[in-house]
Amino acid sequence: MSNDENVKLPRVAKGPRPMMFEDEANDILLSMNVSLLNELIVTRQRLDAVERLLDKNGVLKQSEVNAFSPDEEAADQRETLREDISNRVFYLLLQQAERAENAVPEEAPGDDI
Amino acid sequence: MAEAQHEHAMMTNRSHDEAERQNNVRTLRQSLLRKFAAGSREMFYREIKPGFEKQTGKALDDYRQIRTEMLKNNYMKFQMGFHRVVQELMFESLIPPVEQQLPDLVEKSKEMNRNIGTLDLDPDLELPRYITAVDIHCQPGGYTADHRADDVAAGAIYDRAIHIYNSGASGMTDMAGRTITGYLDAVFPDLKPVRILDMGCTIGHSTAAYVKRWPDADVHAIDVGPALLRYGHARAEALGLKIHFSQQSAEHTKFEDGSFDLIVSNILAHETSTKSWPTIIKECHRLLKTGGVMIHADLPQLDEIDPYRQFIYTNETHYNNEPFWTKYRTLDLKKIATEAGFLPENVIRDFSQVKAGKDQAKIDEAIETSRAVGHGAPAGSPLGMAFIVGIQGIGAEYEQR
Repeated sequence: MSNDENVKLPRVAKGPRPMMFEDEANDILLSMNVSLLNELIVTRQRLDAVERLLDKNGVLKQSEVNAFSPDEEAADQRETLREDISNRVFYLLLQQAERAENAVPEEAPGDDI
Repeated sequence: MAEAQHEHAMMTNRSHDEAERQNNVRTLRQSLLRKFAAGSREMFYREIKPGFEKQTGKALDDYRQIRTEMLKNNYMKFQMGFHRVVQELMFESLIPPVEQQLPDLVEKSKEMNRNIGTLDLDPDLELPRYITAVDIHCQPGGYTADHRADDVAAGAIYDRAIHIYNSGASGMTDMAGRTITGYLDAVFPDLKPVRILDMGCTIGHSTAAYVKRWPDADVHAIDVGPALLRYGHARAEALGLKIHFSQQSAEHTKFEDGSFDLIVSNILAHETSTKSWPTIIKECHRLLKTGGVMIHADLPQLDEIDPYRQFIYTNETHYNNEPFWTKYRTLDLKKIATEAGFLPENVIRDFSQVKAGKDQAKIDEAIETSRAVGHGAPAGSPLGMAFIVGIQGIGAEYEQR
């Protein structure tokens, strides 16, 4: 027991941590996905709180956000934003595809050159 | 529907994001876990069970075999994996604000004493191994953690955890206690306890139900976790509830023989052990006055539920740091009570909603309670909470002596 005011509380529960899948990488991926979902919802809720507060304080109506229609330039930028985000989330798969494309043809098995 | 938790002066504060992180864990439990559970049940009855029986010519009715078959299935693996992750995320979302506010929480708990109830700690108490061996329910640090002088962290974490875990089904979080008072009102309408003991009270959230039901009674609550009790005492003072908390093991208390008219425990039994549970029942027998009643609420025993539910229930042992969960459900509770000195005719095994009669609202409430407080209990469990009841020293045999 410590009298130090800045106690660091433990974050890991004593006891075995069961893994569900033969390859525990899947368990880790699952935990990352659920955490990501949690954080996404927290961010979405924060945005909702901001919109409601802006509305309440007369800065901007929530209906204006719902009715927002981007002009051509903004629409292009938003398209890029969407692609950027999906590319980031799928970076590993995309990298694998890129590796395949750049692979030296001779190394491809069964490839009759 | 989710109901906001009743806030009181001892509660840990939360920023917007901290609160949402916690609320979302509650929502994940409430929505996704229920859907997963319903889905795996369908899969079992429609595909896995008929498939196994067709292939082997044998019935799939042993919960261990069901487990083997179900875990061949990715859906089930994701469900169980998700279940565990949600439990971990619950504490991930609860601990940082408590850690940050701990110095303030400790100070607040000391100032909270309004001399309504009392707190009596025993620093020399030997902590039972069944409580310290693993961190029960995966609460990091466990229920007996004592991190600093006058620590209240374990209690502060637990207070908000109950509400998330129970899917927001009760703002006051005294639902488990109300299940017992409701049952006692139906079965022992003349019971007017003067002294009540709640064993394994943690922060006294269920104890509140007995104080409210019998406001003139002298209500005692014991647990082995010092930080739980400090927090529980401050919480009770903040809520104006008169509870006498003390740090004692239910196996051997300091109370005199015949001290109580009513002894209760809420889902404590499965956190003990094969050796200690009979000792606790003997202690109840010693502590009860003649005509006094003990009642211990837990989830049903394995012989009271179908094989699929046995599989679902016993998952808790594997995934939620519940070493005694399954073993407890195989004990002969009547025999244990009889061996502790209760007359056989005075020992009852019963269920919460059985005594609710034909009142559908009461039955629904009992089922909802069982699901909410019942760890892995599936939605719509038909039995509700299971009770083992013993009445001290009255009955035909006793009269003849």
